[in-house]
Amino acid sequence: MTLDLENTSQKTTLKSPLKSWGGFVVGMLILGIISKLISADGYYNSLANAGFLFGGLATAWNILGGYCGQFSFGHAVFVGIGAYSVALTKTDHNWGTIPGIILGIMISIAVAMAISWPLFRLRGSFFAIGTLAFSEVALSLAMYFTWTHGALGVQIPFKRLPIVDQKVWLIVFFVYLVFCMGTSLFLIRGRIGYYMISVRDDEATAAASGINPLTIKTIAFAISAALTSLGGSLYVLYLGNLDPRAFLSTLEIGAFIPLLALIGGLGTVVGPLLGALFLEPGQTYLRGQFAGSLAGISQGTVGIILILAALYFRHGFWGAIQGLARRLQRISKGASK
Amino acid sequence: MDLAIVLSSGLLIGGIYAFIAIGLNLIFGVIRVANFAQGEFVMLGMFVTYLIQTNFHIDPYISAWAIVAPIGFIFGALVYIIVIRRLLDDHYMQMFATFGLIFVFQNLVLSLSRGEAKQTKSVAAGKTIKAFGLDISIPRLIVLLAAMGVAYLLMQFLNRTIVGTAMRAVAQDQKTSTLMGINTNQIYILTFGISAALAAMAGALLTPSYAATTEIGFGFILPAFAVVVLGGLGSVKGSLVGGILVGVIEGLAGYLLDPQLKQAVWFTLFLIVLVIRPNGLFGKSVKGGMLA
Repeated sequence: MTLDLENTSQKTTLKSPLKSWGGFVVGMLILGIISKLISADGYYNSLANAGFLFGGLATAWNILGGYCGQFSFGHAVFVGIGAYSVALTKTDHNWGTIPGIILGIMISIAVAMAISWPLFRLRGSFFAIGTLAFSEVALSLAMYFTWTHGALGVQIPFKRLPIVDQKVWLIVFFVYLVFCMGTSLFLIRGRIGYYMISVRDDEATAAASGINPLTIKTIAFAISAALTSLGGSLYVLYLGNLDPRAFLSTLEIGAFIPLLALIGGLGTVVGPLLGALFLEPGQTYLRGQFAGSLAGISQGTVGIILILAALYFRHGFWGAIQGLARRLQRISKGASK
Repeated sequence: MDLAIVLSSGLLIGGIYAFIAIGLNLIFGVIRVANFAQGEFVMLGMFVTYLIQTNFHIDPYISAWAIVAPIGFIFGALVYIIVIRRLLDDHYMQMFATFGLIFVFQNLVLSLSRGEAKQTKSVAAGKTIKAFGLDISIPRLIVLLAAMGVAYLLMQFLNRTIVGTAMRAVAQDQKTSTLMGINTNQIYILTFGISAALAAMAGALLTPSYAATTEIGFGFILPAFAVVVLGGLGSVKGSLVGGILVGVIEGLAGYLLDPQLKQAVWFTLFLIVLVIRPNGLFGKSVKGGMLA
């Protein structure tokens, strides 16, 4: 059941330059400058927006799925909670943006903690099935109640949207991404990160060493849910329109976010971002190219990538890069001798 | 009287769930793979049945067992050999790969069918039968009876034949059965093939009453998992009873509360059972007897 991700083992955690705060700041500065340069073109700007948002969401998922080894296909619920909290308080109760976002985060944390006890009794595939079922319940409830506007969803009036400029959104999503990755790095460098990895790799041994696996999983779930909810709030403010079937979609959100983390590298700080930066624009590109001729080709390609990644590429991009770096190191050591 | 209608229609829906869950449960019980793509086998079976009818004018109730099920068997065996076999050691990657299969199959069919819903014609389609003062849909009754027949045959196969015994042995203890000279690889291929064949056959039998759409398969997968959990992992009898139970609960919830809430009700029930009795209402402990 262990994930066997060597890149999160203790040795490489501290050596890797991107696992240090200095490397993190430099990397984020470079990313920020590149995105600033390419955002002159509106099309690339929107690609970067989606890449950063989903990079942040995948990073948030990775805290529970990658570090802690609990594969949730139900994170669409927290995207939904964040989105509904902002959209409903804004349209129906005249709240400001920030209180709505905070409300969403608080509800998400409460929900995550409430369902932790039943769900974390389930292992492996059963946990995944449980989260999937949870996600479907949330969708059918959101479509049922009138205070959620049922199947119609919520349309936020244009003049109530706090930000409409794409360039400003780029900054917002970039800050969101930095915040998520910073949290992720902070966790993995600290004591709690080691606890999470030990629970993932061997729960029984972790428990025997005095770690309470349920507590650690619950903390990881709550943090992950809070960050996901924040992303959901931003997403609905960006789109201006909340369609429950899109926001609470099991396939397009619930299974898609974990996929980004897998492609980039599960359980690593940088991996989820790499996956999102590759797949989000890639999917948009394919959709644009083949929109008229071949429906479904972009999602079909996503499926093929998913299968190939599971078969041949389990450590993702970041794993491949690290493997290459190790090999180069070995060669240069051999040469100096 | 209303209640009788609700119960009978719940029973018939339950037959569909049971049919789909039997195959899913077989893979889960023997290979220990949660195949999220099982619903897609149903969907593919529906479209293949449609193609057979439009090209060769064969009634779905004949092609279901004569053509669609064998195609499903070969297709399932290939999916196992090409994808699943390489992932037996890693449950997480299995889940990712089966989700990948969902994306691939759905979008393949979407691009070929251009998103149009397809329905087959049959002499039985739309007909009802009067029994105990109730109108019972014949196509759905056929699915329920077929599910019961398949469950019976599968149980006979597992209990009476040497290959079936080997499958139960592998389900109980894969390592020891390998030591006893059972070719686990062949058993796994056979299991996956049978499961896919059952799913495809279920799909074929559904076509006269349900229009085939690309998304219909994924709609069945969670009810099917709920049935597996309720009925117990690896139990054929449990799948049948669990399927009917889920169908009846769905009907009752729709009748007593609101049709839109029926899903929420049995999902909640599913979560409760998953937590309180992970081995299912009728399942024995997971390590002991796996199959009915």
